Amino acid sequence: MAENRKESMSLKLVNIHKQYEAPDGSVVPVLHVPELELASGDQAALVGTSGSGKTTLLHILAGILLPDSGQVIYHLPDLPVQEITQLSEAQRDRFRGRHLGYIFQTHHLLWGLSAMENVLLGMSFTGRRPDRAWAEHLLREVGLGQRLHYRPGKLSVGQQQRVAVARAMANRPKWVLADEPTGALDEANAQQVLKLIRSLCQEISAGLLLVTHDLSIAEQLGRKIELQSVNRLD
Amino acid sequence: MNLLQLVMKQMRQRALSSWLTLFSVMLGVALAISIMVMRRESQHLFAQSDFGFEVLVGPSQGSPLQLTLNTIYHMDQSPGTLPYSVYEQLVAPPPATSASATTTSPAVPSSSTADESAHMNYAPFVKIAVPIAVGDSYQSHRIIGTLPSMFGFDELGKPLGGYDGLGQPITGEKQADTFEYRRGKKFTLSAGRMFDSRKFEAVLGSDITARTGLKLGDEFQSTHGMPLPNQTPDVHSAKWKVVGILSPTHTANDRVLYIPLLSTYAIAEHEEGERIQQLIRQGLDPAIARRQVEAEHAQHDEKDHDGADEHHDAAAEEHHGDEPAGHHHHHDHEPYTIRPDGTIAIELPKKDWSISAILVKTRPHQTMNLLYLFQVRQGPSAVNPAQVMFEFFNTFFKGTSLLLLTIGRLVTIVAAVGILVSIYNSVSARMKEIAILRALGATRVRILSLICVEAGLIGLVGGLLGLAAGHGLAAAGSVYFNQILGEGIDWRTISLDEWGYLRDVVIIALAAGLVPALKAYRSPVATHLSGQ
Repeated sequence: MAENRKESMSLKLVNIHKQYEAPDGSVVPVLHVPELELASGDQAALVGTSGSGKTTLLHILAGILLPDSGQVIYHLPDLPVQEITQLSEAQRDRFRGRHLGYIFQTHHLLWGLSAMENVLLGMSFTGRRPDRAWAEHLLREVGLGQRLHYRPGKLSVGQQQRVAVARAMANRPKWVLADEPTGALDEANAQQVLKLIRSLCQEISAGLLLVTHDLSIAEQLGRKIELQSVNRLD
Repeated sequence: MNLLQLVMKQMRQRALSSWLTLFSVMLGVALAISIMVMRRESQHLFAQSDFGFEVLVGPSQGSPLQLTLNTIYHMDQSPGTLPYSVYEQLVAPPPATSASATTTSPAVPSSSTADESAHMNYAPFVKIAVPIAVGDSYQSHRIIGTLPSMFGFDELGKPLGGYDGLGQPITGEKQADTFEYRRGKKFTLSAGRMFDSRKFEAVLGSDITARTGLKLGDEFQSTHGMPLPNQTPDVHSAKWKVVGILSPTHTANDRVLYIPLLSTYAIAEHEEGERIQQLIRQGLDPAIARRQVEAEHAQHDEKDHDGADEHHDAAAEEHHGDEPAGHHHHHDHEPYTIRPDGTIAIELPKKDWSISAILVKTRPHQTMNLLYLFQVRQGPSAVNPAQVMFEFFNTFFKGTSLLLLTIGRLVTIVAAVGILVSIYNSVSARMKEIAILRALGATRVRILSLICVEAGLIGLVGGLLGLAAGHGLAAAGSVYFNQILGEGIDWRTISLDEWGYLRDVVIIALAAGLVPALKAYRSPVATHLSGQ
């Protein structure tokens, strides 16, 4: 697939279908993405009504879920093209750990670990030696240089989310997938966290696909992709 | 952060649950380990075969086990008495026509008949024989009447060849073949001297001073039998003087007070007892024998009060014919007198003496012959204590301890189920955490390992703590054994069996962890990530 390499294109989805089986046995289609292309370093907002499949799409992009059909193709610098639906689950896990960063709506930190350890945890599954200096740099960048060894319970909600941002950047991912990262924050904190995510993505040259309900946040990103529950991509 | 660090931190996060699970494993392992140690050491303690004597001769009544426990471990009641004459038969020099001492064939001389002189039969098989008489106590410690030959001294308290006055071997001299309480181990004195076999003197086992306060030069009175806590002790009037202390033997012998055998016959109650037993042996009903002795005693008292002091027991004359003039009866009912040189003159004729047991070291290859000889004769019984203890261990203790060991192992399995339940519950509560780890790039196998390592770690740490606690319990058992037997156990040594068991515990813990680990392995990441 080396001949398919195209520098300007980093991520491509082709004819993605996903449906779930309802408790009554009926089949409920939740997602159809005919085609989507994102260039390396793009910062895009994914918007849509509730139930339009935004989180499902993010899970498919992360390799957490497999689509019922279609392709998810990553063109990453210095790496062969990866069609992740063709990878085994373990390969997808490793791919996600090394090349993708994931930010949840709620921070999803481990409560038994300090801020520093939570960031180092993000480095634990790559097979590479954890880079403490980089972890510390990230935490300083998100304004937690004085709280490296605080456990999540000792941090505010905004600070917790900033630790989650630092953790997502821990392995210098090529793409950062953020699922409503500011959804649980007040306006001021939301803007601050968005700013941090964007600046850190730029620092590590990562693309960003951010799910949001907040149109003002979506407007700040370079591109807005609307996902509709009717499964029509605009 | 490596896998182990992550597991430790997660366990710390659920400290109470982790510690409780660890504690349950520890209890199970401690129980099993302590049983393993006690079982091993009990075998060593009870099934030992290194006694310094091969045969115990005791009364016909009572079991071999009772005789052995009573004679060697000073436990249980004495099964009864046997005539002193049996001892004399064992040690009497064989006549010239006696069987060869080196005879190896089953030794039942064809001429053996009930009335034949015992000299013809026993002595050729016997190297050393020591009689003991038990029955009295001092502060719940057994008093044993015996001969100085038990300690390597002659009747006058002089050391037998090769030993000095403290019973220590003299360098360069050929040691005399004297009594050994364990193979190659002889009693020695640590202080004082050996008792004179004809006086009210005593030597103490090494623990007695610490346990009763008795020391050299002190006098003590014995208590009849071993009174129960709610019984009024019957204290004899005679007083024994402590003249020597024995060196520690680390056996039950260290808790015994040794007095001359002769002095035990100087106790009125003993004399009565001897007479009753003599009549019983003659075929009288025990109740009738007791009444007859009481009648005889009343008659004797009457004579004494009639001023018949010149009455002199013929039997006492027989043994102590040089009864000095000017002697006096110690008490109206005391069946002895004290000569000017301090020695005891007793009234009880030697033919009426009885003893509790005889410890016999046989000549080479003669043990079976001597046992067989006693077996075919109707009379005193003879047992091999090593064989008795071995059989006791095999039939009673081994089975019981095997049952306990099985229970201990079952408890370990219950503890393993505890691990399973604890981790299973924690996995159920940690599904989101596991999903987060998966989202961060952890593979299913990594998650499986994480849970299994946690279970294995609980098994390992709980097992090690249990190993330590089990040996602690065994140490407590050692104290208990030491109290009742005078011998402790080696509770420190960790056997290969124990390490093998510990390995099994870790494997079982890992297996228990596998159930929740597989649950985590199969858990759908997306579902648990979406739940808030």
